[in-house]
Amino acid sequence: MWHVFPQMASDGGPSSGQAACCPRRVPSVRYRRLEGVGYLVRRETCLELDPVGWRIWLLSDGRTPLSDIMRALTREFDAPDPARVEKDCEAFLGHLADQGFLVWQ
Amino acid sequence: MDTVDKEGVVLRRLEALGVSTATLAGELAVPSGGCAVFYMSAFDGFGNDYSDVDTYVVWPAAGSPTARPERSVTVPVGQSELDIEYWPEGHLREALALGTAEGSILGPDIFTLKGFYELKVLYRIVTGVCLVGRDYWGVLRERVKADSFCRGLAEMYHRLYQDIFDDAAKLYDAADYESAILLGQNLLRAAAGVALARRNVPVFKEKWLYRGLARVYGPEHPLAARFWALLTRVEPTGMAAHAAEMLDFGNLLVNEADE
Repeated sequence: MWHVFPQMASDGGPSSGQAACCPRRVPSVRYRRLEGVGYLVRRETCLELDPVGWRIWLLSDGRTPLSDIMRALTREFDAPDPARVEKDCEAFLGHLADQGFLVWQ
Repeated sequence: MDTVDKEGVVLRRLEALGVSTATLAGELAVPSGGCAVFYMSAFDGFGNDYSDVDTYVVWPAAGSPTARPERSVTVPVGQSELDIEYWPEGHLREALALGTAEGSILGPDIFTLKGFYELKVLYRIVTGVCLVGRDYWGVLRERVKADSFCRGLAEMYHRLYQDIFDDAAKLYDAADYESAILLGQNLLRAAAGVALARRNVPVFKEKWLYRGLARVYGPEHPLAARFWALLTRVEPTGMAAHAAEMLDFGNLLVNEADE
């Protein structure tokens, strides 16, 4: 199922035209996957990620452009609607950035 | 590990050290009813011709479960010296959480309450070879598999990793990159310990961590190569980037076995 924090679909991700930008995990975030659930821990904040979110997180290495991340997700998760992938991915990454877990470069 | 001729490895090393097995029991002062167990890194695919022969003398005596070894000594044996630890059997059985329910030793969470040192000693005694006296641990060898130790070891390394990470992350956020890098070196060692233990390769000594990664993944594999590079090469002008990469690579190593 394609599902990345759907409640954030209207939140701000990277602005339009940032498909060439590369999201990068903030180094001081500790992350771990347990029994299919991804966990991000930074200071007092912990986030849970579903498998799609976890994949986005791993791809956010500061070298992979957002456009490539979206392509990978569409392919790997057999997403039927690339536009939805784009929207959800941007919203998800925007949320992580707002929380201080991720930066754009 | 099972393919190693443990007894042959130890005997050849003892012979090279000028140690006669005929007089070993007396020279090691093995108590009545006790035994001497020998462990070498070669059992786990590490070490070399000059590796130590770690010697553990065990005897059937009761003891406090929390006590440390009665004594750890270096004894002149033959033309050389052996480092010997003396352990009452009761301590080891308690540490193994055997109690009266011996089946508990096969549980998934065994050893997690014991310290790193105890785990290392237990591992060596259970996987070692008995050359003197009654082999107490023969039954345990059949029942306690290496992966039981590996689960405990992975847990211990992971706890250590978490503690170090939190400290290193604070230093990184405070832009103290030099200190973060120093901690990062310990962080990567702990992370490598986690990754290897989860692959059923128990590495108790830091010096074998790279060899362990190179053996499991291959020396050219990015995990092994990056581990080596991050621990051995620091560009003075790239402290921030180096510290950041150490933290992130630690995360990747810890997660590697789960991916």
